[in-house]
Amino acid sequence: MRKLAVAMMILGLVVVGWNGWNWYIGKASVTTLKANEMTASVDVDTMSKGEKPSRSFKEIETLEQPFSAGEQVAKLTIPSLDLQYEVFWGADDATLNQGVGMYVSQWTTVPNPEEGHTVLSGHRETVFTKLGELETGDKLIVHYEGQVFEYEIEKTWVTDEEDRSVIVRKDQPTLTLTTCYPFEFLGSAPDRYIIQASLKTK
Amino acid sequence: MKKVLASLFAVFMVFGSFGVVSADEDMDCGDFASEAEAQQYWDDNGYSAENDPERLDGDGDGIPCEDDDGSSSEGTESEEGTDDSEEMASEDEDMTEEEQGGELPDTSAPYATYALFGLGLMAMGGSLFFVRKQN
Repeated sequence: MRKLAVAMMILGLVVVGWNGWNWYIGKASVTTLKANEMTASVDVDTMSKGEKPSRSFKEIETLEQPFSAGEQVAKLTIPSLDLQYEVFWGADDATLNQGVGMYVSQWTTVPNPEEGHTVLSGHRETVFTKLGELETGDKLIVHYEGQVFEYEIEKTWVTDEEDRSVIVRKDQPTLTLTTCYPFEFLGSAPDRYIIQASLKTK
Repeated sequence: MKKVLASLFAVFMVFGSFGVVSADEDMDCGDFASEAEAQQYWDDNGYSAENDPERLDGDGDGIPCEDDDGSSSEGTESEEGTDDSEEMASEDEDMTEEEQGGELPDTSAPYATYALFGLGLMAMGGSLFFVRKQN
């Protein structure tokens, strides 16, 4: 009896510890902007949008990139939330445990000035906890391969998890953030919260 | 001994709810890909308007899961909570059915829920210990 009680307590502790640790790992990829100098370099690159792409689609297609899953590839800054996220390659479970993941598929591209759809996904519990506070017009900034891409939110909406009309090919440079909805920490998450932003022309 | 069994049961309750909630034998209309499939299941089990233990035939006309008038709303309502992992199974079908877009990633980490379970387990163990001492 006593052994059982002790065993239950130990097991409980392990469960709490394991999940707490995982949670911490996810959280650790988020920093506040104040603790960061990245903001200073926001306007480094000027890009010209709409220019005829001088390279093939393969160069921006996520499937063709040399990264391996879980590798840190970019940074996402959301000034209105005063937060900066590390972005990892892929949107599988293991990668999303690390933080925000960049969706790799035939439909999505890496950030670039000319075209394509970049999708970033994150857990509602660890990284994208405050995504519901964002509004149309807010800025999303992606640092990728030494370049800075500034997007402006055009639309936010809630959709079903089975919705296949969100992660699709786009002609205009688009950034989409996805996370689970509702934003509560507990319980199932039958829906998805989508934020779609378009690249700002300079 | 009774207490041990009771607590064992409690542990099972905790772990039973760790995600595999969908081992639910009761089929709902949402579990079928089509009306025909529902009809097939219906016939296979020898169900009828009078014999409908899984409540697939909401309006009692002997035809399960018609989707024209929402008569099977009972089934769709209870389905929501239980079909988490059944979706996993149907995902592959979706891939071949419609190639127009990518699947939305699973962006919910159950850490908080699990941690809460862990806490519950600890509390249970602790109280067990305490009760034991008092006796």
